[in-house]
Amino acid sequence: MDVLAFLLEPLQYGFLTRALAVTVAAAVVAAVLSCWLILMGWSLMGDAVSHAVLPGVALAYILGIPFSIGAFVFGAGAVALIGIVRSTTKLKADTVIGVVFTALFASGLAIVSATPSQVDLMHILFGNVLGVSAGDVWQVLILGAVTLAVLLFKRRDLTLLAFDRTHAHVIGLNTRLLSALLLGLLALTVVVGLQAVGIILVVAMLITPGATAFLLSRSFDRMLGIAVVLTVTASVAGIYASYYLDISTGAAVVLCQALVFTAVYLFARPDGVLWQARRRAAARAGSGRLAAPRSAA
Amino acid sequence: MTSFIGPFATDFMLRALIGGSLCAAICAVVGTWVVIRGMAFLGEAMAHGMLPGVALATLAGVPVILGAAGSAVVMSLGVSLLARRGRLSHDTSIGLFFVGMLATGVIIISHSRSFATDATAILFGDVLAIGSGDLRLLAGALLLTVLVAAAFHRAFVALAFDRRIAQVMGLRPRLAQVLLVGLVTLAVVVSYQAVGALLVIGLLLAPAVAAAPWTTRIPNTMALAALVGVLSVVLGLLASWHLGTAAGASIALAAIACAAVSSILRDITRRRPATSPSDSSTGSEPVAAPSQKALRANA
Repeated sequence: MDVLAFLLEPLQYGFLTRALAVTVAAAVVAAVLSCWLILMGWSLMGDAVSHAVLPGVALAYILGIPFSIGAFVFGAGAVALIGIVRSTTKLKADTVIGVVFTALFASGLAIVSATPSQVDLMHILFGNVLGVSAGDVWQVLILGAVTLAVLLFKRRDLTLLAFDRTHAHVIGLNTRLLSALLLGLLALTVVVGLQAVGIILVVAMLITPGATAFLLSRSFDRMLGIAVVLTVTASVAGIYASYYLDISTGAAVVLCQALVFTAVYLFARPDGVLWQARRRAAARAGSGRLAAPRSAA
Repeated sequence: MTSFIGPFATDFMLRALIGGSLCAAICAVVGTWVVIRGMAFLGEAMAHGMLPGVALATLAGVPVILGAAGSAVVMSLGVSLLARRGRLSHDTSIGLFFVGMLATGVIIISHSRSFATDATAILFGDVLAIGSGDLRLLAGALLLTVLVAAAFHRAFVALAFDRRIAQVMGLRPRLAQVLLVGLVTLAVVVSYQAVGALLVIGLLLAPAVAAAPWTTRIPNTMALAALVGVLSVVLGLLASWHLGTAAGASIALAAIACAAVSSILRDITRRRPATSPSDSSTGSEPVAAPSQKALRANA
């Protein structure tokens, strides 16, 4: 089989081109958002929101409304609930997040288990990207475009918020509104990514691209660009891997992103682990004090 | 009354009750530290990251617990390595490892379609299928957890309040941190059968959160949290029996309801500023009559 046939064969199938479109769109939005999440230390928040949408999806299926509405209502509701509980108790943030999202996730499971219906839990949890319809594709593309537009429009404010909250407040930005905006966009992104990789793995799309790009760049704009390029590559590679190796599509995409991260972690110059080790060995051998500049985040 | 006692007359419900209660006790001891030290995300990640180990163990036919423990050890080593060596923050490292492991697990499962039903058992637990061998394992794990928690109590307290002072006092904060991660791993590995990998964290956090406002000493918090946990197991199993809901999810939901009720009761009965172990610097000193309050919380 030559290369061109290898690349074109899967594309003959309509469901695979649709899967490709949905995955790439979701991955790009998630990658852009992940850059801010990484800088703000909100990885757990992404995980929490993605789990918390389960009751929304289940209820939407039962009521027969588009699942993205249910998912978004519960995603935004979870964010609001976390904010309320945090401001009215003295519990630590991670404890509050853990309690709220397990509560919502467990009620979602209870709803699914109590209603014997066509709700396929495995499809909600792990995504069913090969089964998306043309309508779903448009839904994902439009939601993704809206999220991306808002993110890029508010880019400078959000970056300042991530790096120096106090400064942002002092120069007159409404930091609480901005945080709420970022969390709302997080809920939207989870809804977009749901279709592609499912509730459980959408958090991977919200962490890995940003973390990989963070290792490779020193400026935020470059970080955004690198994250997008890497995530698109990983998504396409993942879809092809899933087609030829016959493995779960969502998991294949996530695993490709993880492989890219591993490669960067080990081999990137000048901060990759292997280069650090080499420099340390060189320093030990006495060839100058060029120790690795281990800058903290 | 029979609707309360009756379900537990059946063999499998009784085993589920005992097994669930043992899990709740383990989680109460460990969960108290998880809440104080802010390790919720780590616990969550451990629970999800077990998936590939459990899947491989099921495929290879070795005891599932070995696979779970293996991947949990890989997780904890990997996270600490990544956080120490690279530029990435701790929560990013946890997130990376956990999604990597999870995706690997899903791929292993999706590639061998034969045990698709077991995937749900891993993720959501199967408390009703606990056997007597599992009960012995849980009892052993509880004993180990209590012993470690008691033996290293001073070191854990010192670590929670000030790492440097702990170092100066010779309480070995690094060893204490490793042991704490080990305890979290143990709790997650042994109790995923009761509530499933997705909800273990609820059983870890919710009882400890429910107990914290009513007690001022950490051992009391643990004891009260264990009571709350057992109560949640009873309520969850009853709800599952009568309403036909998933057992693990019902238990987790009951635990969280207990936490909500506890915080509402605390607001109503608040007469003096509450002190929780996380912010009182006298965590290891005795304070008068916490047992009376504990009784009230339980009523």
